[in-house]
Parts: sequence; structure tokens; C-alpha cells
Amino acid sequence: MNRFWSSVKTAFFIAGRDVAKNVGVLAVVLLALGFLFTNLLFARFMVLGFQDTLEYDVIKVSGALSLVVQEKHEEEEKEDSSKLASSQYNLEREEADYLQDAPLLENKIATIPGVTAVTSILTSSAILKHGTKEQPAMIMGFPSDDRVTVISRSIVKGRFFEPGYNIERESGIVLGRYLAEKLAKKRGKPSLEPGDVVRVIFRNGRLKRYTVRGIINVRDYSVNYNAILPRDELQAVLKTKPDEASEILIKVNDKRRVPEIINVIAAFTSPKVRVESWEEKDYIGLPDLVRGFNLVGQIIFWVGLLSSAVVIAVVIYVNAVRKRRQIGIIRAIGIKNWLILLVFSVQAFLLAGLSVGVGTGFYYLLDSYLHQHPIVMPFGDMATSFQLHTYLVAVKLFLATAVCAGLYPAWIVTREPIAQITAEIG
Amino acid sequence: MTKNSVLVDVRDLRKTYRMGKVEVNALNGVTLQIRRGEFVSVTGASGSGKTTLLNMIGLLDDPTDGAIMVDGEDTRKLSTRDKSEFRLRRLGFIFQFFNLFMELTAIENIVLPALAIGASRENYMTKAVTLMRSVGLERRIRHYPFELSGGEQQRVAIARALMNNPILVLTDEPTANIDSVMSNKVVDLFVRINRERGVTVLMATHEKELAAKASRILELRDGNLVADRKNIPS
Repeated sequence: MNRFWSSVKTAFFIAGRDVAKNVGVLAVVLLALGFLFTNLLFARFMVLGFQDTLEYDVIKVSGALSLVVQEKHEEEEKEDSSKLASSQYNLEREEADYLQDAPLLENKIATIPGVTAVTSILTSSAILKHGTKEQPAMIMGFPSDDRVTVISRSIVKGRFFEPGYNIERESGIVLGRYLAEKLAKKRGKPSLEPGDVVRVIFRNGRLKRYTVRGIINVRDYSVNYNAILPRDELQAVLKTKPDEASEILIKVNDKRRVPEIINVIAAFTSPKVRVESWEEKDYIGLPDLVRGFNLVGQIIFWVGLLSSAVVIAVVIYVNAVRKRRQIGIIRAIGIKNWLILLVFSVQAFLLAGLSVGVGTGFYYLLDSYLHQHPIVMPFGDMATSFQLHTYLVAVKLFLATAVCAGLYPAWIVTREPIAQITAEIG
Repeated sequence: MTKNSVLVDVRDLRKTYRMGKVEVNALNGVTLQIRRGEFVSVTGASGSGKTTLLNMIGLLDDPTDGAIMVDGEDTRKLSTRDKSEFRLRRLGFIFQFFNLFMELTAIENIVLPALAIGASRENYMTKAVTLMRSVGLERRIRHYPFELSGGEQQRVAIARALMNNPILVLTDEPTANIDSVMSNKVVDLFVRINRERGVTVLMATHEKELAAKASRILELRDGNLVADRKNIPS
């Protein structure tokens, strides 16, 4: 044991000296490997940043943070679409569309650990008209005390519905930015403004006139095409009961708990009720986009890792070949091959370890810059998203790859017959 | 083991190298014995088989035929691992090129074999300093090889070879890369090591003047031992 540790210490000693021997070469190698490691981190954390941006913005504006409780009604939806298309409006309410006992469900869900806010909403498809322009849209009925979404805080023109808002007095409606623009196109102005009047034909055939109270602009394409009414107003129009809801939107404190929370909710809800994360609910194929970017990130990561392996292998190989004579001599002296391999492995490990430090430093600078100057994308401001777990995985893989890459060229040199090397020397 | 007992016993040693389709006989049935405490020179022209003989006795290469007993061990029965261990603990090597680790100081180069056997720092450092003194480099302990002359580097290599108290030191053309004055000093050092420490030395050299410092001279020609004579060192 004493001999083993002595050998390990010797390996570290020789490798350390070798690494530190030529500062110029060391600097170049560390820069190359450091940049490769930065690239590994950047590729991975940019994708995570992209994912975070998407999730964060979608979750905070599209309703549910991660979970949606929604009655299953696929067949009826098809039927409803055909009704709208043919303008055969049904003035009766549709029982099957709504969750029953929504307040009770809300209370139960609110007690689940990890759930931070719950809001039940009503939704209905409708056609909005302004002058000659008409546009199909989703109408969302939000309670004034919604704490799940940021919709009420996303007003860019006019105002939202404050608590106690009296619909009878103003008949206000809030429009998503794109919806307001679509309805205004043929009127010679870029967008409807607060005070403009729109007519809404609900899917039950009811027609009502509303005055635009505000325009919201959120980082969610689909919600910007929606219109928002106070929940009570939509309830009255759709003739639903106060304890009925189209969806229950839920905010959780940690998205990793979503599967667990889904299971808890599924245990006390009817089998007809769908409990979905935002990815499952999916608005405009964002999960596919995230998966696509994730794949690109993975490819960049693994290519980067292989590039690092090649660089380290070349560095170690050049060093091993340069030291061929010394290796031959110390093998002749009787120093075992495994100790020689250990020296080169440790050398690779030290190089990789130092490169991790350099690469992390570069990444930190890049990360700081991107957080100060995020990339502005249609779905949100994008920056890198550091994750300690992913970082540690990258470090471990980088070090392991380096050691393997360093071992092989050294192994080749230690396979050569000692007599051949010493004969060449003599 | 008593002084004058046989340390190296070589019987009908043959080595054939295959170079493409051509077979080259480097040694053609060499038989010899070396006693403990002897200083033996192996002379001969280039290609006579000096290095091959040293490689066989030093367990760096395997014979094609024949037997070698070193310190009572039949080397044919040793595994590669055993041979490494044997070399580390019982043999010392000095080659033409000093091949010191440039990134290690003189004393760090010397202690390498001791580190490989797990010796304690206190022991090996004391011994390394003593060896440095005995080879006349006590003022060069912290110097790097590139700060030393060729002769000084070779003396570091000699000290390294002696670090684990070898019973046999094998040295192949140790003076080939140093000037004549320094060559004499290096060979004198072998003589001193042989006399003072009782270490058996087997030195291959093509320089007759240096070979004459040994107590016995072997002469090889075309892989055959053509002369084996006692010598009164000059």
C-alpha cells in the first residue's frame, strides 16, 4: 500500500513538473482546451437558457405554470368547430365542457405541497368583429385575483380589470396584441386602441358588443391572439354555474415536482379529467422546439468533448514520443508500465483540470455578458442558464475523456520493447 | 552469498534478430561467468554484440536460446513483471544518453527508483545526497539537467543507477557523449564504486583505453566471445 501511494505521489510529482515546465506551451494548451470546455458549457447552457426562456414565458403567460385540469371533450370540440364554421349557433350551454365543483378542486389542489397558486378560468372560442374585419379567437374569462399568470400585469395600452370591475357600466374587453392588430388592419391603423368597439359572437351563438379596455402584450404567440373578459361576464354569457370552470391553472414552485403533483391530482379527480403539464398541453409546438434545440446542444456537446479528447491525445502523444527515451530508460531501471501510464494519465488530468478552470472563467465572462445583454427573441430574452448538476457532469466527462485520451498514446509508447529503444539510443 | 561467488552465469547464449526476411545472429552461443565484485569490460567493434549481451544480462531482452542466471535466478522463469522488479531492486543501468527528466532536478532524478519501490522520504533523501556527494555533485543537487554538463549529467545517471543498492551495474557506452577528460573521470567513478561498494560492474565500451580500467576484459566479435582475460587496471 505504501508503495502504491508512493507511486501515485511520484506520478503526480512528475506530471505536475512536466505540466508546469514550459509555461508558454502550457498557456497555449490551456487556452485551446479551455475554449473547448467553454464551448461545451456554452452549448449546453444556451440550450437550457432557451428552454428556460420558453418555459418561463409560456408558463407565466399561457395560463398553467405546469398543470392543467381540463375535462376531456375531444369529440365535442370537433362538433363545436363545425358549428362555428357553419355559423349554426347553439344558444344552449354545453354541460360536458366544464369541470364541476371547481372551487372544491381549487382548494384541494392548493393544499398540495409545491403548489403556490391556483386559478380557475373559463374559455370559449368566439368570433370578434370590428367593422368589416372579423377574427376567430379564444375568449378567456379570468378572475380579478388571478395569481397564476402575469396576464393582468402585461397591459401595454389602457387598463386591465381591477377587482370589483363593473362590466355593466363599461362592457370592457382586453385584447391580445396580435388580435388587436388583426382586427384593425382594414381600418387604416395598425391596431385597435382602448375605446374601440368590437362585436363578439360566442360559440353558443350569443352576440355582444364590448369596448376595448386594454391591450396586452405577452411573450406567448397564442395568448396574444386571445381576448380576455372578467370571469363573471364569461360565466354569464356561457350560462355556466359559478362552480364550473374550463380549466384550472396551477403554479408550482419547482417544475421537477410536476410529475409528482400530476399523480396527486389524478388520484382525486375523475378519470375524465386531464391533468397536463404545459408541454403536454402544448400551444404552438414549443416542446418540439425545445427538444430540437436540446438535440443540437447535445450534438455540439459531444462533438466538443471529442475535440477535447483529440487535442489532449495529441498533446500527450507528442509529449510521450518526445519522452520516448526517458520512458525507455525508466522502464529499463525497472519502473513499471502502470506507473508510467499513471504519470501520463495524471498529466492529462492536470491539463484537463486546469482547462476546466480556464474554461469556466471564460464561460463566466460570457454568461455575465449575456445576462447584461440578453439575446432578444420573439419568445423572450435569451441568455445562458447555468445548472450546477450539468456543469459537474460536463467536468466529470471532460476529465474522464482527457484521462482516456491521454492514456492511449502513452500506452502505445510503453508497448515498445525496451531493448529496441535502448538500442536506438546506443 | 560470498564475494567471488558467481553472480552472472551465461550459458550458450544466442540471439537472432529477424529484419524482414533476413536473420541476423547477434550472439552465437556465448558462455561466461561473472563473479561478484568484478569490474568487467566488454569490448568489440560496433555490431559485435556488446549491447545485445548487456540487454540479455540486464533482462531487457529475451534470448533466442541459452540460459542466464543472475544472482541465482534463472531469468527464463521470470515473468515480465518479475523482471521489472528484479531490475528495479537488483540491477542498475547507465546508458550512453543520460536521459534524465529535464523537468526534475538532479536529486529528484536520482530518487526516482527509490520512489518506485516506496522508500521513505527520509531514507531516500539522505541516500540521494550521499550519492550526489560521492559522484562529486553535491553543489549541483538543485540544478536541472539542462544546467549540467554532459559529464555531470552522466554522473547523475550513475547516482540514479546506484539508488536502490544494485548488485550489478550495467553500463553501455557510458562515455560516448562526453569528452575524453570527463570520460576518464566517469570510468574512474565506476572503478571507485566497484572497489568501495563492492558493486559488480559490467561495462560495454569500444574504447580500449577505458576498457583497460576494468579488472577483466571480454572481447566480442560477430557475436562470439573471442577473448576473456584478466587485466591489471591501468
